[in-house]
Amino acid sequence: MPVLDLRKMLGIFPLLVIIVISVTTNVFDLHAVFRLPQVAAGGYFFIALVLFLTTYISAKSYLGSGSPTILLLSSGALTYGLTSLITGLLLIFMGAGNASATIFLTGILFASILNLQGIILLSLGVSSELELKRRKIILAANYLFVPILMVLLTLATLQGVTPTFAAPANTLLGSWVIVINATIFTVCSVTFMWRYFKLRTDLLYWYSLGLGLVAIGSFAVLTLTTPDDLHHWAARSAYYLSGVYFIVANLTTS
Amino acid sequence: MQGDAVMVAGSTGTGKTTLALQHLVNGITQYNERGLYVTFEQLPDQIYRDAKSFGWDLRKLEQENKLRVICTSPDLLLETQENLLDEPIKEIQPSRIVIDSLSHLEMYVEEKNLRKELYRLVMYLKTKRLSSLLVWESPQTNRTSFSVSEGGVSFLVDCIILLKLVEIASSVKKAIVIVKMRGSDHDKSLREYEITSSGVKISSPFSEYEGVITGSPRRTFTEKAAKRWAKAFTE
Repeated sequence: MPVLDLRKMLGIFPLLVIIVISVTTNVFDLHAVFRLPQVAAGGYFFIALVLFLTTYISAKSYLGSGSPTILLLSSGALTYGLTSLITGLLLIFMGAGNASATIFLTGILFASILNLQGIILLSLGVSSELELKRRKIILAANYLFVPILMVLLTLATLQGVTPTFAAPANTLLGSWVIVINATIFTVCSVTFMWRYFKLRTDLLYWYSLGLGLVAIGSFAVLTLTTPDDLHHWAARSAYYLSGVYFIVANLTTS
Repeated sequence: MQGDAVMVAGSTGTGKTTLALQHLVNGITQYNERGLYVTFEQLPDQIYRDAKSFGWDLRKLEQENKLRVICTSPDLLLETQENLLDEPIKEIQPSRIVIDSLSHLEMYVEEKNLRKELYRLVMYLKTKRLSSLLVWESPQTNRTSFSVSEGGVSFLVDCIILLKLVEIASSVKKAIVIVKMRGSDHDKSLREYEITSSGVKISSPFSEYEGVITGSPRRTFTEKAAKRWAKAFTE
């Protein structure tokens, strides 16, 4: 099996296109606004569906293998999925604004931290010999904790307790969170790609590109000035495409 | 249900006889329902010995008039059905009967008459208000259907239980499924079962596999993906 066949090479292309669009719209000051909350929400619902499927698969994998890395990646996938679902709902009912931005950026931050913890454990070679019953309890505790956290975050945001992340452009706090998200996802993406070249497991390749797209989307959001403009749609497209890549990762046969 | 005819179909080595004997022994020991075991396959000593290995003392049950084991030939049963079964039925008044196996009748009856003879037999058992368990030897195929229907007898019975050997991870496992249950909803899942030292033990469904009934199951999509996750993040 070649390290990079045509299909895999083509897989890189959309990432480059999104980077070019993001840069071009800012350089040439293209800020035409397309306020399509239903379309934007649909994209987030799609990500949520894919991430819930990924969560289910990785949960089965954790129960079988007991790998703490898979548990953390699975919890990260669940966090990203719930974040996307809530963001989609807020876009429909409240439109793009501080609430959806706060929940999306904070949720992605939680997901990125879980992914980072996962690759740290992977790098350290940490494994677990827990019996199945204990694994089930730990998995259930994780999967209970994540929705509770997301519900609390949503309630806090809607009550105005959380700091402002977008007003409408990113605040300093919002920008910092985006930088952290983008950096962590880049690190995760590079780590998994490095691992792909070592193990030649296609899942790692496409998962790495999926995380790479989340990082690109986050970098694009960093330079966002006008909500719902072309630049914003390019960033959203990166997130939506990450869902496609996660599907491909789960469908690969090696 | 009392008076129902249940068919247990399966290929060689699936444990049809063990299941049938267990059905009778459980009826006697747990529900105080006496039983009649009619076999065309084995001699009594062989049956007593095999049953003993599962902890079932058939001789003792016979001595207590709770069970009768009848070893006969299919043609004799067909010719003297009433005489052959009437006597033990009157004697011990059983609630359950096992005929092991109906497939032997095929050797003595022309194909065009088989359904008629089987119908006569099933109806006779029903009129005696006996809950019958009819063993049927079906070939191991990789089809989703099975050959019970080919004999044209599946419509005669109230319930059909299929036993099947399946290959999983280079080992042979046993699957059980209820194919038909007249007048009642039932568990549709294919479950794994084992023949243990105390008889047939049914365990969990083959939820991680699809195509189990074909005999060559494949892991489900999610199960395959879960394996790839483990490979990618644990090696």
